[in-house]
This record gives sequence, C-alpha cells and structure tokens, in this order.
Amino acid sequence: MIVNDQNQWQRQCAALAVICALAQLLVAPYLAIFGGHPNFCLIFAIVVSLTGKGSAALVMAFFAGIFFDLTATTPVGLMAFELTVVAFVLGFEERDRILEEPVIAYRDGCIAAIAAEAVFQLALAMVGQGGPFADVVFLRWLPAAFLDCLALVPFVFALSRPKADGLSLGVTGRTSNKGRRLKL
Amino acid sequence: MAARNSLGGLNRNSDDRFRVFAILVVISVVLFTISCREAGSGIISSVQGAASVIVSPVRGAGALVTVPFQAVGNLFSNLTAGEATLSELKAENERLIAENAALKEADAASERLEALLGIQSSYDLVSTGARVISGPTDSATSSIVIDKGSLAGIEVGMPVTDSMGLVGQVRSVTPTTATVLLVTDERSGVSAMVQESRAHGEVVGSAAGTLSLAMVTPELTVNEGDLVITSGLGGVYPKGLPIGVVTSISRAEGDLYQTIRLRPVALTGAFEEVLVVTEVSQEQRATAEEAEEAQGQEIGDLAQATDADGPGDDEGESAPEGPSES
Repeated sequence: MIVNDQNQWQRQCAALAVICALAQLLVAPYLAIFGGHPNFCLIFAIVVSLTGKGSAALVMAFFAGIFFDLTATTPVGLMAFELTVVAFVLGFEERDRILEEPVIAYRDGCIAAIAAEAVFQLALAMVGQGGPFADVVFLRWLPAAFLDCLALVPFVFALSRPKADGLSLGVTGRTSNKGRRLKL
Repeated sequence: MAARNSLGGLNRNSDDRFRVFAILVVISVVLFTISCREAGSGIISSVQGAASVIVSPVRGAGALVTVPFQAVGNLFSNLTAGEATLSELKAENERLIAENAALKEADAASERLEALLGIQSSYDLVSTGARVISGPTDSATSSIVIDKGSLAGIEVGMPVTDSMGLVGQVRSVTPTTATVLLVTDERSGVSAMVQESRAHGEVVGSAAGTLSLAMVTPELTVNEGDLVITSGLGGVYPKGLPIGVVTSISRAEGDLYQTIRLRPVALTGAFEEVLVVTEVSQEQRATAEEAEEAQGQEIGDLAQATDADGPGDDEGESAPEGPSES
C-alpha cells in the first residue's frame, strides 16, 4: 500500500513537472501584468511540498529552481535557493495538506509565493539587477505574486479532489488516505 | 513499541530532511555566488546558454502556437470594427473565415518582412533578420529571445530594431539564440535626441513599459508629437533610428529637467521579426560637431544648475551626467 502510494506520488509529480515546465516555457512569457509573469516552477515547488514527501519534495523543488534559473535571465542558484526554502517551510508537516485542508494549503501557498517573489526581487536589487523601488514593487513583484496565486488555483483544485479510482493531472492509479497516513 | 518505531522513523525523516535542506541550500548559494561573479562568461553561463539552446525549439513551438491566437485576435478586432463589417463577416462560413485569417497572417508577415527590408535599406543597416521565439520568461527584466545567436554573428551589445524603430540591445548570446533587453526596460538607456529641435537626452525605460526622455533642460524646445531618434553618440546605436514620439511634457517647480514621456514607435509586445544591427559604420555614428553640440547642451545644463542653486550654495550639487548608452 505504501509502495503504491509512493509510486503514485512520483507519477503525479512527474506529470506536474512536465506541465509546469511547458507552462513556464510556453505560457509564462505571454501571460503578464505590467512586468510581472507567473512562475510555474514556484507553483510546482509549492504544490509538491504541500503534498508532503520529505526530502524528495526538497530535491524536486531545488531542481525546479535550477530549471527556472537556467531558462531565465537571472543569476543561477537564486530561484533554486528560494524554492528549496519554500519547500522546506511548506513541507514541514510532511502530510498531504492539499488533500486534507485545501483552503489553508492554498492560503499558505499564496503567502509563500508572495514572499518568494519579494525575496527574488530583493536579491536581484542586491546584485544590481533591480530597478526603481516603486517600479519593482508595483510593476513586477505584486503583479507576479498575483499571477502566481491565480495560477496556483487550478493545481490546488485538481489535487484536492478525492482520488479513489483515479488521479487528477492525467495520472491513473489507486490511492488512499490510509496509505498516506501509514507512510507518516 | 510500534509507536516508538514510528516516532523513530519520523525523527530519522526529519534528520534526513534537515540534512538534504542544508546540502541544497549550500549548493544553491555557491551556484548563485559563482554566477554573480562570472558576469556572463564562465562555466555556469555556458550551461545557461546550453539550456537556452535546448529549450529554444520548445519556445519556438510556443511562438508558433500563439500565431493562430494572434490571428483570432486580429479577426476579433475586425469583427468589432463596425456594424457593417460585423454583419458582412457573420454571413461568411467558418471555413472562409479561417482561410481569411490564415491569408491575413501570411499577408501581415509578408508586409512585416517588407517593412524590415525597408528600414534596412532606408538606414543602410548592416543587419541580420531574426524571429522572436519568446517573450520575457521572468519578472526581472523586459526582454525577448530571438532565434539567432553567435553562430549567425550576433554579439552582446548589438542594437535590435523592428520595422518601426529601435527595439533594444542584445544582452546575452548562445550559439543559436540571443536575449534582447528591450528599450522599455528600466535598466535600458539610449543616447537620443529630438529630431526637430536636436535637443539631446537619454531615453530610459520603466517596468511599466513606458519610455521617457531624460536630461533635457527647459530652455530646449520639445513639442508633443516630436519624434525622438538615436543620436549616434557612443557609437553603439546607428544614428537616426526612431525610438518614440513625445506624448507629454511637464516640469515641476524646481526641477532641473523636463519630464518628457514617449510612446515607443516599435511594436512593443508584438514583435515577430526583428533586425539585429551587426555593424555600425562611421557615417552612422555621431559626428564631432554633433558630439560638441551635445557637450554644449551639457555645459548649459551645468551652468543652469549653478544658477538655480545660487552662488555659494554648493551643498549636494553635482554636475549632471551626459547621455550615456548601455
């Protein structure tokens, strides 16, 4: 039962990774409010850490950050650091919070997204890649955070539904909350 | 006993988690430090370039995927253009509309390419055409990615134009792609002048995507509707490329310079094909007289600053910087 649950979680994460990577490359460039763009790598890290699988979630978040860093114009390592911290903080309880308490999980995810975008802009300012303060706050940070929160909705919604005979995100397989609890 | 085992497992998991977290944080901080120190040339930059090359087909596919949506957008604009147009279009069947949209796209692409050739010959630009494959992928910069890189002779610093005017400057290059920092980015600065009055200044962008002409003193005449062009000072941008049209001019009490807002002439946000200027000839650079003229305006600025502050009042006074190109 535990093995089945673990495999299912891995398949789910793989599907999520592909979706978020494609969204980051294909959707994010064309979806903007002022200078803010959604960060699907951040969303991936939030979702994975909220589903709670300890060290594995940390590693996935780290590589999501590396993917972002390599495909963006910012210094490599910054987003990897941020997503690792986000995954560590959000995944502290090591349980599937999206399934058990989706609203609170979404709220925490939004707080993490807002904080991560703020730290991102702050770090860029510190290495000389920032702009005027007001522009950074109102035209980059807040729009990007808003888009992140908006883009997080479908992911939390899809993963919060009970998955007795199948799984959202196109991954099939059996799972149960019992199995998840046994793992903990 | 089982509970104790379970707690023991939980502690082990927590320890592992802390250990993995610490390792990953150290790795990312090291990568970040090296990346910042490399400043665009080094192993991490090479890996970043390689990653950009690998994902460029996906980005290209994304650009192609958006073409039909742009066609639908154009079609929607046409449908909402007027009642007569709307009723006529309603009468047509879906196939014809789709064909029409496709033909319009082909026609528009042809017109854009002709316009690019036009600007290339008008300004006698030594340039390479490129296709835009992605917009900005992060919230840090206003930039685009084009499908030509160092293999096509593209280098960092080269100016980029579309059929209407200046788009930006190449910021980083990989073998098959290049990232162009848009002129509307807040870190962009272009030495420019008002075509009518020859008032020199610096065009700077903002995170909102707006442009403004900075460092123009009040005695220099600037009118709404005036065209702002590159001045050729510094030799980075060829002289005379349109940048924007003056939309508003204001000056608050005590301000040393006018606040001049511009509307970009380049098709900001809707780039599809662009020209990368690979060489700026001597004729396209500012002449010695023009450089002197710009210098004269700077001296005038300084004199006015001194006058405005009053004799002996030199606290916080500084000479204004001349227009610069980045």
